[in-house]
Amino acid sequence: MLDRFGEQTPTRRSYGISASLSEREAEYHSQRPPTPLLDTVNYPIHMKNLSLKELQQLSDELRSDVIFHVSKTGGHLGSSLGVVELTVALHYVFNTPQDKLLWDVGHQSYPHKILTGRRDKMPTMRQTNGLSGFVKRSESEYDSFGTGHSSTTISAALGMAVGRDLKGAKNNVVAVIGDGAMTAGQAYEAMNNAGYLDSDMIVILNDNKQVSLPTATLDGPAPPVGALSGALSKLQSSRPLRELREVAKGVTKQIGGSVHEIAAKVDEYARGMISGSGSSLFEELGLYYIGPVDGHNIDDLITILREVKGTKTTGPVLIHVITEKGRGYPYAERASDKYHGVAKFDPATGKQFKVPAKTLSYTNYFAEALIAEAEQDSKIVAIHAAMGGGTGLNYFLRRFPNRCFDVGIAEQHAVTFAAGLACEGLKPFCAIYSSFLQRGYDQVVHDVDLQKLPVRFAMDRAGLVGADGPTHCGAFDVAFMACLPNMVVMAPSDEAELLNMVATAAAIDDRPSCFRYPRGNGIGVPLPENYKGTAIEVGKGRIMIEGERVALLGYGSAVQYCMAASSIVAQHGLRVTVADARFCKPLDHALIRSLAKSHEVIITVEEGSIGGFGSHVAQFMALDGLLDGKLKWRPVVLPDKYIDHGSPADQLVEAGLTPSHIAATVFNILGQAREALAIMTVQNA
Amino acid sequence: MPHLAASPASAAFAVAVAGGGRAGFRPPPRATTRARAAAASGAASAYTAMPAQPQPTFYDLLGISAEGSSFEDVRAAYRRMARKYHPDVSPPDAAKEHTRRFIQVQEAYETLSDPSRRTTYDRALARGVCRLAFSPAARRHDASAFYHQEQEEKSGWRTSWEGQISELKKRSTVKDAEENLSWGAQMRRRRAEQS
Repeated sequence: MLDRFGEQTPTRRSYGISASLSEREAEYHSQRPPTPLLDTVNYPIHMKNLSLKELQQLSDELRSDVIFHVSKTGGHLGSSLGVVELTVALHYVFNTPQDKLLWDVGHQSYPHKILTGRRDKMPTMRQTNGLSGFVKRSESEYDSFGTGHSSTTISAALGMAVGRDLKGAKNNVVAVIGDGAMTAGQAYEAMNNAGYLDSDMIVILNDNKQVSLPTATLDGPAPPVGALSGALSKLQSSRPLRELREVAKGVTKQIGGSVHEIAAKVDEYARGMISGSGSSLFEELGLYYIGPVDGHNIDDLITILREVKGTKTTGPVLIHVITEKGRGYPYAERASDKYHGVAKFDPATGKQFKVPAKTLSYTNYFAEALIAEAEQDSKIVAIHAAMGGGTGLNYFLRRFPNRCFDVGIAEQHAVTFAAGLACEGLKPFCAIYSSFLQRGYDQVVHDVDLQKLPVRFAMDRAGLVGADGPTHCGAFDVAFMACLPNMVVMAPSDEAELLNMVATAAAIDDRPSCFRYPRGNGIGVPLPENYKGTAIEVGKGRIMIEGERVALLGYGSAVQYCMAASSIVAQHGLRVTVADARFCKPLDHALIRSLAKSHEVIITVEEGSIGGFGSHVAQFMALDGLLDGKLKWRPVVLPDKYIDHGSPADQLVEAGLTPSHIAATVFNILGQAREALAIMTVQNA
Repeated sequence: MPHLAASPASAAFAVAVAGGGRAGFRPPPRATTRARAAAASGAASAYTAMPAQPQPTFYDLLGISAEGSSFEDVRAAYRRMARKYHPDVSPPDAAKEHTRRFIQVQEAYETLSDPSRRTTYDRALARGVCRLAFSPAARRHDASAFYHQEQEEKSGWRTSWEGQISELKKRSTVKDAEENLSWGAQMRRRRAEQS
């Protein structure tokens, strides 16, 4: 059968997902789509003998497979669909794993994983003991460098290239980085160094014009932030450079092939002449620019990659590939967020299966609270680093378009930018995930805390985060914030407390402050009108349950675990005290002293690493002489290892932070091992 | 190369070959029709081709510059031109010509005021493919028209990266010459000596 281009359409098109550019009726099935060619490919070596047409068919089947698997497990869909052809081309041309292939952020690596021996494990994606949603060295030898935070691959690739040079090896090193990740400073640090060292390596700039996440505001697609996107667009229509090249080509043709050197030098001059057009941005940094290239045309990709691979000394080369996020799945192509991260969905309709919840997420409550504060105080502004949806600030943006700043993936800049705003008397709220704030830590210390500027940090995703795994886990923020001399550090135990703490932070105007809250939904407590919280007294905790002998002093969401633990303990006849510290800095000294005086044991509980809340309490108690008597202190913290991705419940078990663990700890300290064992047996049953 | 002096683009070229970065050097003029037509026709005749009837671009029609003109500039220019060429205000003997112009100006505005269509148009211009031949496709907004435009752009991309690849190869032959003192070049020379 001939299609409109007069080409023979393969008969397989009558079923399965049609992932090509023809406007046929695409059919999507909930059953596994047939993938005859993909079934023969377990590792890249099985692809090496395929023809171009077969590689195109392989790409189509790979695309269907990705859609099918993500529909069953949830995960990152749009980005993976955008790089299907690129993945196939890279594995076809290069000899992985000897050739190193690095994926920035790693969420687009689903096709890569399918092609490198993990197709049968795709149903376990992002689940406990299953495949990681990002690239992980310990998972496969084809995963050259672990990622999760963005913009690290050029640096790592340069390191691998230089290491290869020092060893005298000959393999290729290829880093794939997106245009969003390109907004981060580290990418430029790396390119600058790469240009200087001049080591052979390839950087593939995967440009799909989606610079922020999720790739839309509430009301539609977000225009890319930053000047870089404009520059990248100009690259696609860079007239002067192209024309000059044409002239140069013509001249060399006329002169003849023997005058390569002069032509090469002329080219250098020509490049130097043209500034203001985008490609010279990369070339000024010392990378040879090739592009733009159609990222969905396998023929083009393979040609270019082969040529670059086959050229002996290239130095660093940047190939600018244009792709479309969500390509090949019409629902994704049309969605304003391009189906960046999805729950399980029905492939035939694109509808996601969202579990209905009684309460909103903490992220939503934060956004509402901030809006409520900003209604009354015009000085409040919000800053985030390319995470409008993830931090809930898209709502703030809609309500106050001029008071919400998306700086791109640039946490360091976000923090210092907020510091600058604070200097001018504004009240900046920096909403950055706990683990991403690690990237801006020096700025927090040096630019904010040292100068005592009143910047407020709202750290979402504190503690364990479930399917995203250790790269996104906010384990360390209590430790690294509470050790700063001027910082006020607090954590809400439920959503009402969160609203109050937003108000408290808004009121603290003479020093920096921060508060952390977990991923997940609220527990269901009464909320104030219009989400407007009331400021609480700084350094004041509260007692939740009055009891005896043992005091559970919880911080943040751990207070809920303590409450649950106290019910378990109560079943065995002991009523323990549960207190919510609320503040790690300044600590509620009076509360701690009173607990120390009236109990035998104090157990501090937090969902954070060592060196955080518990350590501060212990320090205080030691200095205050409270530990010199009969009092015992035990900390419950995240263990000294990285907790792998999985369901939140499984992660808590792995971390030893479940209510059952806490209850068992209580009995263990009191010497009642039988009760402790009973509790743990019930949990494990 | 005496005959290189003929065209402006190659004049710039000659300067570069001769003297390197002299202060007085002026970058190649912003795409004269001559250079563009030459580029479109495949470069070998860059300094000998006499172009066909030089066609104005949408930017010329509106009298604005191609780079850096904002939506406001486009709109202001459109209003000026529309007032000038509207059939109702033009003298009767020029009515036909003015009507034709007016329609062109109208179309120019429609294309240039829409950011995505403007980008597509810019790319097509860069490849020297069209000026006003945009019209039939531009009228239709359905997916297949857009698809065809996209395909045309992308075939233009191919020409450019093929050129870049051949330059890369040329460069690589001289890359590790003795003058290149970069770390990478030193390591490559050392490896070449050892093997």
